[in-house]
Amino acid sequence: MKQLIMLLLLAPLIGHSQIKQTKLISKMDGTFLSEDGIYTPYWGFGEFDPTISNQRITLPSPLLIYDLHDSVYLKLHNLSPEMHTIHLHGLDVTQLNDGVPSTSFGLLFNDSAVYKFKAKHPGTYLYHCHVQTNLHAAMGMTGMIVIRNFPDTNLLYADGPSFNKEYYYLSSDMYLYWNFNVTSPGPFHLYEADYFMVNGKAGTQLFDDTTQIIKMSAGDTALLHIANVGYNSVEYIFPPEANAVTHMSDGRILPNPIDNDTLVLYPGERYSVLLSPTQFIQGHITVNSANLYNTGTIVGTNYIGINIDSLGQGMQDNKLAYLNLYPNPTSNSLQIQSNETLDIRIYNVQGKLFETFKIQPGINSLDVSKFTKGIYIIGANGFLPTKFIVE
Amino acid sequence: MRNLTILALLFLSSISSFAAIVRDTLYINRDTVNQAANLIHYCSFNQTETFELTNKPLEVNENDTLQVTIINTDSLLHTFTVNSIIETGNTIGSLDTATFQLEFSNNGTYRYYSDVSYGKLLGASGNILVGYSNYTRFFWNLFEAKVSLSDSIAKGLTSQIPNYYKPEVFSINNLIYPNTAADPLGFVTGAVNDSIIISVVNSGQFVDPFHFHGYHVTIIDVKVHTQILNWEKDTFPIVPGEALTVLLVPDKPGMYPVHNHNLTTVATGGYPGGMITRLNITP
Repeated sequence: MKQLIMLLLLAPLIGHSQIKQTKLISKMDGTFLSEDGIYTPYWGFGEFDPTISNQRITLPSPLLIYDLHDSVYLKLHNLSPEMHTIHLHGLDVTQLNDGVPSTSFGLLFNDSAVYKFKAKHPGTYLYHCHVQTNLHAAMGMTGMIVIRNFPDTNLLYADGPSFNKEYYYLSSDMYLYWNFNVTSPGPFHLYEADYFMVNGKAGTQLFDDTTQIIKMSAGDTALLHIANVGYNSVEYIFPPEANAVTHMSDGRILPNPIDNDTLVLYPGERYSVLLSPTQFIQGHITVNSANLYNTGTIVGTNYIGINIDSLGQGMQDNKLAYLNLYPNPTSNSLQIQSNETLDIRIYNVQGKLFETFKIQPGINSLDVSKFTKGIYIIGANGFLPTKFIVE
Repeated sequence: MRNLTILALLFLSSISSFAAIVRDTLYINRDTVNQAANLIHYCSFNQTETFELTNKPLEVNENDTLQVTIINTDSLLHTFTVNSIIETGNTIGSLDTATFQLEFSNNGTYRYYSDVSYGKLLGASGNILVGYSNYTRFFWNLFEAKVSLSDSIAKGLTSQIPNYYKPEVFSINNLIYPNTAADPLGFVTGAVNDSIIISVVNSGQFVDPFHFHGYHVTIIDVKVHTQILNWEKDTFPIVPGEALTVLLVPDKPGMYPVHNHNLTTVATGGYPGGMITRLNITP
């Protein structure tokens, strides 16, 4: 009786604990439409859908959200001809649930198993296949896991700062040669990322996707879950007016928050960033991808749109404008009209920096006759990235 | 009797707090080694004049003086450099011997190396761990090599890493996985709730983002990328020239990999290979 009373007294302190079940499938038959319009093979995980017979995977793999103290049962059914696993990156699971074939287990065709873990720390995590990781992760078998601070899901962590909006950005890269030559990808140390994504989207696919844009009003605070599962490092450059402060990394509270407009994530790292803008912004977060073998040279850039509607004035109060370009589409020359001297950057559809040059006030002519036909993005500091087409 | 005991303890503790001189000897050796079918030239600081792949880690207590005698068996001069500790007057001529005294005022990891191109680019670089003598200690020395470049450096044809640099061989203590998992210096073993110290230097030219499976660690000392001091992480960058110390206190038993998460580095000689090692934690 005494023990029962003690248990009842302690019960509120033990905390909420729910069993959360997720069912995923793994397959190797995905195709995604790249930004330059090419159907590209990929591998991945998908949420099991009992209503369909032909299960589908997604790029990136599904975002999995759980609450602090949840007991998670993550079932994987492998529907592909090769072995796969789920490595719960950063969740500090037991050896059996770690997803490394040599120390836990792997799933062959039509095998299924349940990975179990307890959600002990709020924060941002990853999951990916750990079979031939360098190939399977590069082919797309990667996703994000978020643990919310339950029951106060509006707080970053217990007694931590609050937020009222939440966004998720998973950076990744691909070496498309591997996607199209997956049976003979060549020496693995020669991987050279040439397609750069945030949430599986590149270039204008990302920038034009309204579901990816951060939308806030004055007084809002947005939590950004940011992770990098690519081979390259990525650099997030926030507009200074967004007042970006980084509070957590790898599911742990930083000793001191970092008040910095630039955040670099190396492969496998995750960060929790709060944006608390105090003024109108219509612009973008720049996401630069840099390779690690060439002294950090930036090889690709993506943009995440950010719209902050200040003082209830609405989005028509733009301060940033598009560059004045014509004709667009073009085949021979592109005229760029400017009132000031600008450093111009041109990226290809993969987000790879293609050309840089300076323009003077007035009308500047860019010879594009030798450009490969396709879509390009032109950018300059203080202007929104603009798409132009070479026919 | 109680007072006598206290006096004795005070006496003993005053003896133990005396700064001591710790003497060590290192030989600078060169050789060529076949690493996963790649011929790599190495230059190492070894315990004897017989070439060994792994640079010998040095250990000393805080406030002790480390007296190191360097015997250079190479045909070229070298230096014995520890940034901010010994940076000048530290050359050792070919086939020469020199002795240096080093004093460290803070616990942590320092990197010693030969600050000539054919020294540092061929891997003549190692760990010095100051303090933590009561902890279980391990050492990781990260390095990568490219066959053609290694050959050119060894022959004196170049003294620089090119901007476009894609090495084939990635190693910990100049060993590639699975050999790393048989290396008593680097294969981390311990028990639940142990306080385990891992001393890490990056002797290569790559940023090496390391990922711990199973556990978070605390970065308790870092010399170059100081922003991450005292961060609790499972994945963090180890930049070129870095010397850092992590504390691991395992909360559960298990055998887990630890590896570079730039996945070009984990396929030396085939996957899994290269910059991977393991933790083996017993109950």
